[in-house]
Amino acid sequence: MKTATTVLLIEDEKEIRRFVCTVLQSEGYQIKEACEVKQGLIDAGVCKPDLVILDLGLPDGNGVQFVRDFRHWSQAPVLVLSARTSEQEKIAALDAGADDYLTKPFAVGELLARVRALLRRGQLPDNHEDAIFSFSDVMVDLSRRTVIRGGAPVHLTPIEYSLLALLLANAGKVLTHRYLLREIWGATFVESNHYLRIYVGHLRQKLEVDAAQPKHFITETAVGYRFQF
Amino acid sequence: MALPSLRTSLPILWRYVAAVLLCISTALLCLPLIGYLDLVNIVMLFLLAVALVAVMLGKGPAVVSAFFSVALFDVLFVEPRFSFAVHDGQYLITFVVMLLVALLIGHLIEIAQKNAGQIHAERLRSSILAALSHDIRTPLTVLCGLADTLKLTHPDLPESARDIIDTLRAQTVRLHSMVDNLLDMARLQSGNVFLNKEWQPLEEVIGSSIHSLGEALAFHTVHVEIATDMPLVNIDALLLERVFCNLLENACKYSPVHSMIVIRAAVVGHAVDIYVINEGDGFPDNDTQRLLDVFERGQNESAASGFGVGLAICRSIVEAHGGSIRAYNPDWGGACVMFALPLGVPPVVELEENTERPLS
Repeated sequence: MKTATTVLLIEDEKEIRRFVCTVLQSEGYQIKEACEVKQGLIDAGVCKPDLVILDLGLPDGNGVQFVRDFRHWSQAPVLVLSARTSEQEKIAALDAGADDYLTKPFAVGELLARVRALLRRGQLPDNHEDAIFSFSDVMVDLSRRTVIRGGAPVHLTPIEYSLLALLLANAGKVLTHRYLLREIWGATFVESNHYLRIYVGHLRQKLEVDAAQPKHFITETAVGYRFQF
Repeated sequence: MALPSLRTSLPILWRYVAAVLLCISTALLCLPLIGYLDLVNIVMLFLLAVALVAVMLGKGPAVVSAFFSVALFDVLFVEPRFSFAVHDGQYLITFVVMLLVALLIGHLIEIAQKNAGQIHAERLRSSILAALSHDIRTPLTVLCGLADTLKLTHPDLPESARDIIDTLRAQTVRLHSMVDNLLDMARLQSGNVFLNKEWQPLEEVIGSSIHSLGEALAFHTVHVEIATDMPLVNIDALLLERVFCNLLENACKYSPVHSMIVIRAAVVGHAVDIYVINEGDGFPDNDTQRLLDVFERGQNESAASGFGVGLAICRSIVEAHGGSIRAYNPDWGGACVMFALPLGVPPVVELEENTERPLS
């Protein structure tokens, strides 16, 4: 039986592996290192990681390929490390099943926060319908379909509510524009990003302290949205 | 195409020889056909030869082959044969047309090759930029990461050592933002920037810019004033985020800590005017437009340093969106950068009918 949480780190730059390992080990995680897609897949099969940290540009292929193969048999969260200028790559990785990404260079504190958030997600029961979520002065009860802010009920339209529920159920995870549009509006709307933006705007106006400086409904520019507590 | 490459692979003299040979071959091919083909059609075959020379061997050989073809045609096919004399002045037209075709095709091929060369150079340039950006980012990631790790894993370090780590990290972040700006500038100046425009609320771009600056804004309060009925704007969010980040960073750098930075947006006519205002000392002189030129900085070697590239990038991005940007010192103090983006016709959005779901 496994005791420590195992993190698989797939990154070809030795020095990046070094500090990520050091800091994760100091937090008590058990680390397995790989520097190629192929080796990563083999290691993943052997050590059954609880979380994967994955660089996208690997010497023997694209990290997206790893995510696709990995998702065939594991639902463990995947955190992608990527360069700023490759939005399409990030989207491809997320659509393939990755959960979140960090842009290089990143703050180690941020890395730890994301790792914790993703691991916490993995421990949540699958049935989110029972869950009660609270953030700032807002409380959302998905089972009773109620949203309360500062003690008073908040009126949400059906689409706003579905969007909120979907974001909450995937808290900590980056959801791409395409995914959100398909889930909420259906396949014919996947090119209508402005609908999504308008409705996220509504949620921010109703649930954020300052809609222009959101703390929970986070924009991942050119990629999608992420809800964070 | 393999054939046109003859124009570069063959030595110049050989190109002319090849052109003449092709004309002679055409003549030899046509000679046995004299009884069967009209002169008009024989001219056509010569024209084809000239066109081929123009495509394969270039403009000079094409002109030579036009002259040579007309001469051959005249001597060998036009009555009286085996003399340059012609009965009909119409053959002058034949000659002029051949010459023009030769020049025209030769010219078109040259243009096409030049474009191909430019596209190649452009591709090379952007792949170098991409590689450079990746190669620089890796050591910067390592530097930032190691500084963070040192601090996190050694909480018992003395205050002075922690200060050094903080400085190390801050300087690395600064270096990173300079590199980003330089690479962006190179990309923008290459001229063909692809704008990934989408209709979106301005508020969201401003929000994501503030979010991505994070700690850099820790000692300032940002106040955003946007009317709730502000229409969607058609913008490249990533590039506009760059504009806001650069303007906010500058606003921070040149104003006292704990002061306020205001972002204000309003529709004016067919444009949306956006202001980023701080409470600093303002721009040093009145020639503020110069500030927006590449590598121009407000103060000489000021204590609050920065790269003038930041503002120049803002200008490039705003102008790529069909907008304009200016910097000035408002009467009430501080510094202000104002940019205007054109308002298009946003797509119609059918919102849900006002069936607010009763929440019990």
